[in-house]
Amino acid sequence: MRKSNRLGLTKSEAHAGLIFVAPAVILFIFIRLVPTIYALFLSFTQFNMVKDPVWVGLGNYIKMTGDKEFFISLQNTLVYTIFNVIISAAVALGVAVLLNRKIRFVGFFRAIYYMPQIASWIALSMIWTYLLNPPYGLVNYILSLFNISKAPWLSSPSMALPTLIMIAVWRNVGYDVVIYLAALQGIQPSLYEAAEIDGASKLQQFLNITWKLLIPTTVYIFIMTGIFSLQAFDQVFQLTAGGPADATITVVLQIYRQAFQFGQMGYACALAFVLFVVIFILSGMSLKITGRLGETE
Amino acid sequence: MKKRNVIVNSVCYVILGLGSVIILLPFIIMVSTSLTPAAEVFAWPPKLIPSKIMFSNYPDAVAAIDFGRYFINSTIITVTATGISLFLNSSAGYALAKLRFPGKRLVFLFILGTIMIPVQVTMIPMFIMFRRFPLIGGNNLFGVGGTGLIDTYLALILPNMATTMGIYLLREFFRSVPTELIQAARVDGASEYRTFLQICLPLSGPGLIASGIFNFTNSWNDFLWPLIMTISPEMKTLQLGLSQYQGQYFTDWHLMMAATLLSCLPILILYFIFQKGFVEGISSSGIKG
Repeated sequence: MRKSNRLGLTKSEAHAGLIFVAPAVILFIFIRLVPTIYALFLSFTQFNMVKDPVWVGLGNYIKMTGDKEFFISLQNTLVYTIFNVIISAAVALGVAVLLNRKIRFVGFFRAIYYMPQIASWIALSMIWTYLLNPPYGLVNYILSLFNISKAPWLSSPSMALPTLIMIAVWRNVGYDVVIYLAALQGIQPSLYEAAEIDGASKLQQFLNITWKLLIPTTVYIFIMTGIFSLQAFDQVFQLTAGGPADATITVVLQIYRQAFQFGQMGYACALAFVLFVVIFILSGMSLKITGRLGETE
Repeated sequence: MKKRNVIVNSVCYVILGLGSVIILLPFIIMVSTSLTPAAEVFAWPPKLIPSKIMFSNYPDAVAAIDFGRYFINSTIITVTATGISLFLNSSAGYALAKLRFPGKRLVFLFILGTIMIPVQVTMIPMFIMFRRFPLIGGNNLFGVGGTGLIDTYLALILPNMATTMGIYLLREFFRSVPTELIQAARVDGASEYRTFLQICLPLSGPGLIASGIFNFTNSWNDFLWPLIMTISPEMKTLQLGLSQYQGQYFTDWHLMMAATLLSCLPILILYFIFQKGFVEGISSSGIKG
């Protein structure tokens, strides 16, 4: 009697479990799994939406190796990603360490630093276009107070990419601060007390305790912000549209142009798949670091 | 020693304050420019406080583009997607946290794994599939002749109806609900659905808020997806409208800043109300807006 009751309960539980996950799983199959497989297929074809896809094997991938614009976009994307990731993390670490001292208004400062993260890239790009406009912009005005001559910022091929990185860092710091601060607050104060007793200097304490314990957090931040930087599109589209003279074209901008301006769906899918492989590896690493894959019981 | 601490702390405040100014300045300029008379937009030196406060810039900005329509579109898409996602994410999160069912491990790995697929990979096939969707939007049985699902709200809502990070976040919250509570409800004869809806869901308020905010912000700020999935001006979202504004009225900065401010307002209001929800969602799961 008792056994059948227990079995009955488990059965209804299993039934409910499957029904509860079904909508999300079915949705993900249709909007993520099927399109990914379809994209892989299309990447081996030539397809312009008018005629049927024509199988070209590795043709698109071979074409890529001779595509000068693709290489420029790849180089820009990597430069943008590496500088954005490293500079943001370095600035954020400094801010987080200061915030972690027992000072007041921690929540207030954290809220301010995080603010650029919640606004859309389009809105932020509008503001920065205004701030950076060469003749009247506020940034050039502030520089002129220090006798620095007006800079062309986004309209100069040599300055456009560094300017995009600067804006990205401005936006990104808050995200890194929040994560660093959470990690810092998790460090046991007793570790510092013990080091204090052993006569370690503040610098030694920072290097041997804080920094050492923050290395996994740093790797995590690098991967997460790296994934998002590799996908840079909105801000580039709005601030420079890839120009001047291809100085700021990114991989995703190229994917968008190939697919929706030139109608090269197959080639665009091949480009997207290259990006996918890089992001897949980075995400896999982040899941491994956070231990989420091991959590499956 | 104590005196030294005071000095060090003051230096801290100064550095953090300067940093805050750098972060806030663009937002302050947005507000001040949105209230500036047209003649002062290109004043040199730039004026932080306009000589005359022009509230009329806001109605002017709204009238200059089809702002109302964009705002309604963005609201419909964001509210519907967020509402549906709260339901789909919480039911999936609950099952993965508290229920035993066959294939659970595989389902969890699948949901987590899909986060590795960037939208740039799925957007092209999705565009083709939507465009070729049969018998909708002027298409015939073979998906030819019209625009299919392109230019519909469904196409804009679909990718945000459930999110990996929302499911993950809510699963974490449900895991902290005591299993004894669920067992007790079962003993009392409550169905699995009632246990979920009436006992566990009310206990996961902060999780629902964090996941809802995350989804709302992402949907509202999304640009690439609506850029691809819309054709007609009536279906454009606020971000698309804003983006085009700059191309059309590139010197009317007072109006553009007014429109930009209005477009950020719903998110900013949410941020000031649920600041903790935003930040805690991020630090506990690493999700990013």
